Amino acid sequence: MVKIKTTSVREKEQEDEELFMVSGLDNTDGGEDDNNEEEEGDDQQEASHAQLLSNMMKITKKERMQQDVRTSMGTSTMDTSHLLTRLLPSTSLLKAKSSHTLSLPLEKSVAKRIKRAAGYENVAMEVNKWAKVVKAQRETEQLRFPLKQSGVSLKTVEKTNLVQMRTPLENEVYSLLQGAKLVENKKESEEEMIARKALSLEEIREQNRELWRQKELKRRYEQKARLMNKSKSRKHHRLLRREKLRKQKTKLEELQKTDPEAALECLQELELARIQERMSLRHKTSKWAHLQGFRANRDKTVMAALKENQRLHQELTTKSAKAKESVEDDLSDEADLAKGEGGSAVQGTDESLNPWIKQRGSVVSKSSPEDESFTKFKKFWEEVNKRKQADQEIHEQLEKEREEKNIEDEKIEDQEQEEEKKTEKEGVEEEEENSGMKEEGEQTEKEKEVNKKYLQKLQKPKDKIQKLKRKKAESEDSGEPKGKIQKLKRKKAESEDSGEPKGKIQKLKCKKAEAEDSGEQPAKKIPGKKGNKKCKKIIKTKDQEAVNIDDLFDEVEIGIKNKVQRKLKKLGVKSKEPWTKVKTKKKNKKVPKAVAPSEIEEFDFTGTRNQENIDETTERAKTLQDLESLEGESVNKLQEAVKILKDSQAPDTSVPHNHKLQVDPNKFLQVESKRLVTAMPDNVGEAGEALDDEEQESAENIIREAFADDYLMEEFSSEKAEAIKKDQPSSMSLALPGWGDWTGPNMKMSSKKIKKFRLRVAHAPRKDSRIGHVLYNEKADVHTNLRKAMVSELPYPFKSVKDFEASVRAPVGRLFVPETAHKKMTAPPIVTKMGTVIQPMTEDELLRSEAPGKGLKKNRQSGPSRDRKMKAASGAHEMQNSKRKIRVKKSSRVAMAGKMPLPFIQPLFLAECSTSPNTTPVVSSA
Amino acid sequence: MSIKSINVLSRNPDHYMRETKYDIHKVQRNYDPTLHPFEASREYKLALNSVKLEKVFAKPFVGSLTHTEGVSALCRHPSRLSCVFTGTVEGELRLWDISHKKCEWTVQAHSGQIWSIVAAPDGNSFFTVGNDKTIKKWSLDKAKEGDHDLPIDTWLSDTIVTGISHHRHRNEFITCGERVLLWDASNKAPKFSYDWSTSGDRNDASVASIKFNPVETDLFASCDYANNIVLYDTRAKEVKKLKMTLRINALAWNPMEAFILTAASEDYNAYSYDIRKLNTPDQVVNIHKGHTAAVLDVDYSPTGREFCTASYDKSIRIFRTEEAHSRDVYHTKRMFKVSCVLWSGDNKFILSGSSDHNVRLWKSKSNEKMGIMRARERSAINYAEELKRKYGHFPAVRRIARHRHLPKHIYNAKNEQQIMRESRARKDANRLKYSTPGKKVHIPARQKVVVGLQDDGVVGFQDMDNMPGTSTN
Repeated sequence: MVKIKTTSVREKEQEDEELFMVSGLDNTDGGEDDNNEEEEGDDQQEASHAQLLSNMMKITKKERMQQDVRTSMGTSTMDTSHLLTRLLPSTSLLKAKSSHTLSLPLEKSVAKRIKRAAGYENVAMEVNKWAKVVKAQRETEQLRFPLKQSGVSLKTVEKTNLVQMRTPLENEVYSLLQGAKLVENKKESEEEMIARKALSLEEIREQNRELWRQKELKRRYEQKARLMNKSKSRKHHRLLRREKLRKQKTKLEELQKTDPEAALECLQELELARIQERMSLRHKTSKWAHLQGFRANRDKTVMAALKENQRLHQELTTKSAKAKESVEDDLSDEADLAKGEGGSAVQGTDESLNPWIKQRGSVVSKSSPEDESFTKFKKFWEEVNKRKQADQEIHEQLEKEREEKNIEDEKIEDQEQEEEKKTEKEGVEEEEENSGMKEEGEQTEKEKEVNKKYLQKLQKPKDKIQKLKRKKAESEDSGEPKGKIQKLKRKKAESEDSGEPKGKIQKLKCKKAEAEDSGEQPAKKIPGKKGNKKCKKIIKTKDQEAVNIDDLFDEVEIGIKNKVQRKLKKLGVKSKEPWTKVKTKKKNKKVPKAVAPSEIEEFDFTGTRNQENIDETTERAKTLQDLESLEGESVNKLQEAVKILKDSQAPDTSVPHNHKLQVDPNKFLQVESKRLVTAMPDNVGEAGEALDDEEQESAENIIREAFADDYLMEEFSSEKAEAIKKDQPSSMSLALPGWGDWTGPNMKMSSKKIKKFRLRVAHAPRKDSRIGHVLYNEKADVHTNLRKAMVSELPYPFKSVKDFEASVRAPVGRLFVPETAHKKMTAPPIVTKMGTVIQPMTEDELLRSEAPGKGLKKNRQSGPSRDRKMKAASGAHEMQNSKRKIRVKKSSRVAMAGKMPLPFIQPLFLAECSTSPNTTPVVSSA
Repeated sequence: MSIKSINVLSRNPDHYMRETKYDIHKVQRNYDPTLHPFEASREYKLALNSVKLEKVFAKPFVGSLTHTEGVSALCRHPSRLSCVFTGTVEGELRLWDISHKKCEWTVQAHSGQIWSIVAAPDGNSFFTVGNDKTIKKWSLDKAKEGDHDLPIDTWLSDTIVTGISHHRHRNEFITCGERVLLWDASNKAPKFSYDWSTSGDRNDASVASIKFNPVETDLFASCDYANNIVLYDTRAKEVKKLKMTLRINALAWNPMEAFILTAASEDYNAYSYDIRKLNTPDQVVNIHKGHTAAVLDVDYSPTGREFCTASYDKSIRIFRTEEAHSRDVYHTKRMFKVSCVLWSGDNKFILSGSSDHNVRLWKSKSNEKMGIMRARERSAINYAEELKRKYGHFPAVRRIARHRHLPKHIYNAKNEQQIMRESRARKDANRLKYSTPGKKVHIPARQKVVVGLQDDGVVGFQDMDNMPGTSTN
């Protein structure tokens, strides 16, 4: 135990290398010297000593190790090999020595922080020992000062005596240790002490000076920094700002190289700055700028400043715009295609998420039927219809022949197409699944993905088509010079070839259709706005892609068409064209009936896109089949789009949650304010109130539901309205007929006159005007003056009005209560003794409060209780207890007087007893 | 014939007769409440009368002790009630016999302002600190003798010492200024330096006031010009630092509640802290409002139930520890800025030193009757007090009890500040109402005044370890 003490002391001293401490390093030397001397002791003791030491080691491993560590830090070199040899049997030491190295000391600041934390913990704990006494003091009925000083005084002994030994073993060990002088308190010799004291002042002065110098330097530095901070110089701030901007720039450049994500964030910040600038136009329309404008004529510098300002504005508004583009570069890969096609800029950006914008777009398209696109569109369809009619006649002729001849081919191709369809459908379904999985949060990403997939899919047929092209070109090149057989072969081959690509094209077209279908499907699957939104988006993108696809295939188609035309010329009109028929059939199947043009008009068709469509069609319309297919397609598209539009708009118009509005708001009770005559005590928390509100509301709802048919509310409100009407000042007028009035029966005075002499009585607002559910009879309230003299709010320590009233009702005067009771009830809360000094509390008080049945406790039990003390009391429970005492006392007083207790006291007492049977009421000795 | 027994009314004369003529008349009373239907209303009237009488008798001013300069420091003798030391801004030190309003001894103690005076616990000597960077120890006995104008001991410091506080038992005292130094009275050099000038605190500033805890004697607290309140333990050095929004001018420990510390703040309020809760957000247990200018000094009554504050607004106020508003306010026409205040050891008087060259002596309870009283008078006063308490909530009583005449400048300032407070509250409420829910939270007033705690990573203390002058890394 002693060992530990010494080490800790030493440690402390070493740590406390403070200004005015002369650390006594020499002390350690002394201790170790003693150790050395001890080692040369007699051999007899050695064995026993070693054993003892090992035993000790086992007991206090840690401390021993610590001590070793500490002593090794001493200044003198000491030969510890003897010790080690002696202690060999205890391997733990060896282990310790080999493994244990001093860990790195903590950083100074961290160490300080830890120290502080620990110190504070200690302080808080120690101070808390007073809590009991303080609480008791606060709650007592009467405090007498000065506090009683007990005879027992607590004296802290500065230097505790050596540890008391209890067992003989301990004694032995201790005596041995003492004899060995392994551990001994260092003692500062007197000379040292004197020397230290003598030296100290000079040194301290010097140290102080040095410290002061450092502190002064630091102070100056800080002051400078503070001044810099406080500076109001515009120039300074401008320079600062510029520097900051420059830094930002360089940082951004760096980031662009190293960390693109961070750069993106920076750019976004810039974007924010731009937005702010654009919102506020701070540099453009500031007051300063406005004023400078006047001065600019005279002052060149002002002009320059203005220009600079303008430049800043421009920089702020434009520079980051570039940045924005670069940000969106990544995203715009797919979106570019759409934009190239003339798709609205809305798509592919966040705005596509915005339902309002979409709606607006659709509305605009609807509401502008007379613009260019519409007329073009109309023209286009007129053309189409004409051609249709012409073509249909030809078709009818052709059909019969085809049906006969090409049944087999049809079948085969049908199968092929079906297969392809299947695969495509699967693909679409996959996409749908994907879209379903990711939901709204990642809509843009979804779009991207979908787009990519489509692009990939599109890529494949494109490749195929290119291949075909090449083949055809070859076949054409090689075909012509050859003979008839070759021709026939070629014919066949071509027919096959042309069948294939047509099939492919069909496939693609089917795909388009299906893309539209897929747009439809989720719309059907997921009802409601969100689903519709999504579908809309998907459809839009797919529409665009469809257009893209159209572009891609136009070339191919044109090539093929040319070929077909050539063939037709060769073979005549009645040539065999199995694929066309199939196609038309397909289309016929798909499109049940022609769609009315009125419906088509409603479809969204922007100008540029329309133009292109028309161009395409003029090219395509070279063949009947194409024309038909195109027609079918476009009709399909339109139909679907119209459908979707309708779907999307439908939920908007029919709002499902509207049905609640049927309830007449006037039939509800108005529950605006809840003012009570006696307010709740302050300590009722807000949370509690909130809860109450909820409960009340729910209760009201229940009542409302229960009496839904009884029209109670209406009855009540009508009653109240009547009362209000009755209470209103009568419209009496003091006007009398006189000058300027006609007299006679049935003659009326002029209304002007009546109005002029109408009595106007100032009327205070009704008291129930703000309380919806109360009808207040103001005539019955005659005690306004009395009310003024009454307590309006429940005073703090009381919990109920009843309690408070009881406390007021109970008299304390000697006229009404016996002398002894009166004295107790009117005892002052603090009693001081004249002419004596009240000393602060001492630890005696702690002792007294801990002793049972002494001091404050007794006082508290016997004394009368007051709410004054209740204020100080922390717990509500105790408060209630003390209240109870009041009431009990009253009743006891009454009982003692030998009369029947008052009726208002009796129930109180009974109630108290019944509510708390566990507590025995204390009857005062009055 | 049979004689019927007749019941005759007979009483024991002892029950109603006085033994001697000096006895008081015995009055028989029937306490049946039904016989006293107006007991409550009678008591109410009594209460109303007594509260009016309280106003009539409220004459707190006792007398003044005139100096030749503004008074800057006050100190009471630890055991003698009539013995009070005062120090002025010109360095004059006076010893007063309060009961006779007589100056017993005057000496030019320092060449500048006397910042603080403190008595040694034995009462034989006392210490002064002044602008001339010295700490001087004076003997009371020699002062009583009269013409003795040399200190019995002097300590030199390298900086101005602005405050001093003595340990309750040990022969140690602590001074503050640019450094907080612990001295042993037997030694010329400081025993220890709570050197926070090297602690790397960016907001390093000199300490304005320092106070030893009278109960838990190892603790002491200081307040400095950087708005900090620092709690020290002589054993564990600096233990906790609390930063307030505005400067703290003075500190006082509750002599009966070891963990309650009250601070006089520059923001017109006094704050009570529970040092056990310094870590938690509710370290401020009470805000004592009322002054209309900076509070310069605070002192606890020896009972620990009340404290008084001195303010720049030319008034002193008395607060109950558990209440937010002052119990009473004292002012006179000619009293100026009050720089120091002191509660007498017997809880009866308050002394206030102001810049109008006067120390004023007030009764701590304005309507208290001083001197010896008969038991009947005493009990009547007690009864009146009880009635005032009992009916204190009634509007008529309350109005009279609360009413204080205030000088114009305080009255106007109070109204103005009320408007400002309301406006701020309204603004806060509006902000709370119209901001996105959850974004703004209501911060209680008690938490608003505290900027932060050391080691809590709060702004004020954040970078204190990374400042130049610190030896980190």
